[in-house]
Amino acid sequence: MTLRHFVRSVRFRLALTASAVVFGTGAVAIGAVYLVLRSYLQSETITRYRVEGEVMRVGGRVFVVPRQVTPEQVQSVEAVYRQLILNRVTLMVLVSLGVLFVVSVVMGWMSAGRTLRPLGEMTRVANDIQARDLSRRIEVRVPDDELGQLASTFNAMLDRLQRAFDQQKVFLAQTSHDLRTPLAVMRSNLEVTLDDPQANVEDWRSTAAVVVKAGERMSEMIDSLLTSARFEAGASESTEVDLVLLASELAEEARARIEVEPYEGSGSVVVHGNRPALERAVGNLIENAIDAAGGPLAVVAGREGEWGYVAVADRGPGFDPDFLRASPGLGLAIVKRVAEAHGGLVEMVPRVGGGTVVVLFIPPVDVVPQMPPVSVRLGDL
Amino acid sequence: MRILVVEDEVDLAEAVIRGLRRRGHAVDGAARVVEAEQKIASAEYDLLILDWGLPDGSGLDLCRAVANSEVAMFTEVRPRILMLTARDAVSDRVDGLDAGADDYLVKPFAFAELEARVRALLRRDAEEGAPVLEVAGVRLDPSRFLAERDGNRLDLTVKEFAVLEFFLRRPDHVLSQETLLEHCWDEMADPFTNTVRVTVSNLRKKLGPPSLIETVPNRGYVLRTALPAD
Repeated sequence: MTLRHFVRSVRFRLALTASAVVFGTGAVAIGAVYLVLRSYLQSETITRYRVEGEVMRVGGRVFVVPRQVTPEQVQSVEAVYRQLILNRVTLMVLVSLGVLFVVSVVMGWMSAGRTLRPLGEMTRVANDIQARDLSRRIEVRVPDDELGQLASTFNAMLDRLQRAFDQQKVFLAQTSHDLRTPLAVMRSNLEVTLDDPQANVEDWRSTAAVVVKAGERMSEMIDSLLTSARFEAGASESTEVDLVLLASELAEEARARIEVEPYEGSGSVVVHGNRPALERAVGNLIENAIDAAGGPLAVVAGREGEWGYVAVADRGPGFDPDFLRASPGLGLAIVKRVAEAHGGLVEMVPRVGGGTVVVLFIPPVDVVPQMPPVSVRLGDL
Repeated sequence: MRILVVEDEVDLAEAVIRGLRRRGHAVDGAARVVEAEQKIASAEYDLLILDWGLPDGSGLDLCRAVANSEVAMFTEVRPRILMLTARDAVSDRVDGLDAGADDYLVKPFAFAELEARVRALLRRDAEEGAPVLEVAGVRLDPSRFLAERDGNRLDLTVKEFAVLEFFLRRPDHVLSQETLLEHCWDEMADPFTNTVRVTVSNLRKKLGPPSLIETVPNRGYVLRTALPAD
């Protein structure tokens, strides 16, 4: 630490302030005592009390002054004596001021150090935390004071960061898994057929079909990733989007590929959001439902309490919540990210009579929901 | 050898099964954990190839259950396990091997590597574990699909090759028709046909005299390493 850093440190400045206050107060008190004493000694002369004759009273006590001593002589003795007292007092004042100075500096330094110790600890923890290990926390000793509050706030921030990092990690694992799988399909099919000396045109044709299918799946995934990434990077704008309209359009599109129950929603639920991202999210829900089950699907949008929602219901084998948490599939992971970016969330409930209902909740424009949405009622779609 | 491929990605499972079958393995497929458990309980597999993420559960849990004999198995002998998954993190690979997997291969993979790993895993349990087998004048190189007797190339079908390898890895052991059917034929084989008998008899013809594979009445077949000095 250079001198410049030292002089600028909060601890030094705090210590200096504390020391100045203690030393200043002490100095004023001692100085006042000195001044009062001096003026008293100068004003109070015994010659004033001298009575013609031999008797003199000072403060109730009686002194006898010999007659042959002149008042001038007494005054000169008095002056010497006064000076001696003042000299001694001055020395004591200077010594005690010196001691007071040293003590106040030391005490100020120590008390500033004690006050600032949690700050130093916070700095150490913050330094220790690398992007990989967000599990460390600051120990909060006194939760109510200002530094305790700072530590709690800091810890809460670390909690959020850790959650975000964990989510990111899961998302990355999911992405790499889901992109690798079609790659594995392509590669192994091509290699196995290539390795077969008797492979005929028919074999090559079916291999090519598999590769094309896997390639389509990959480009679909990459589109999906790019849409959500662009949206999250703020590279695409938000507009007002009608969830009901969006859901009915996508349901209509899906009807070309699979049986979809007639769309029943009416009215409109307008949310503030990015249309391509929301389209992608609902599209992924429909895609997942098709993969899970085939039809008939139900796609419904509307308003439930404070929330706007789009629900996609299938007749698949249902879902295992624990399994989904660990490995949601890239499609659903993207839906979750889009939902969260819009201040919403995704919920899954078992469908009455078998199957799954996945609900995308988004707060309508100008509404800040106070309560989490209730999705159970949507189970009987 | 008998292999079960547990993989929910149909196109991938199909390619793996096709490729391994062409190497003479008897391969079955399962797309779900439940299906895999049923098959493990009803056939004697030498090797399981497991995907991690399956629609109705985790391949890792299945791996652990098989390794700890917590699932119903056809015999006491537990199959070897190869995890074949897209999860490539070091921690995933460690978890996989610690769960009891004998090997771990990350997707996408080179098919030749999968084949080699399968061969290596299947060698481990055999009595004759050499990569190239040389028994009683017969030389068999599974990696190159090459069979010779006394220097003369044998023209074998994949099934005959697989049966011959099975015999060569267990010399002087009496092997029943059921054992051969269990390890060299997949679930499509009809246990009531004489397919084993026909294959063994064709193999004998191709191996030529003196006869290597003897019939043990009512018990099965045995490959003799020391020819009877007649």
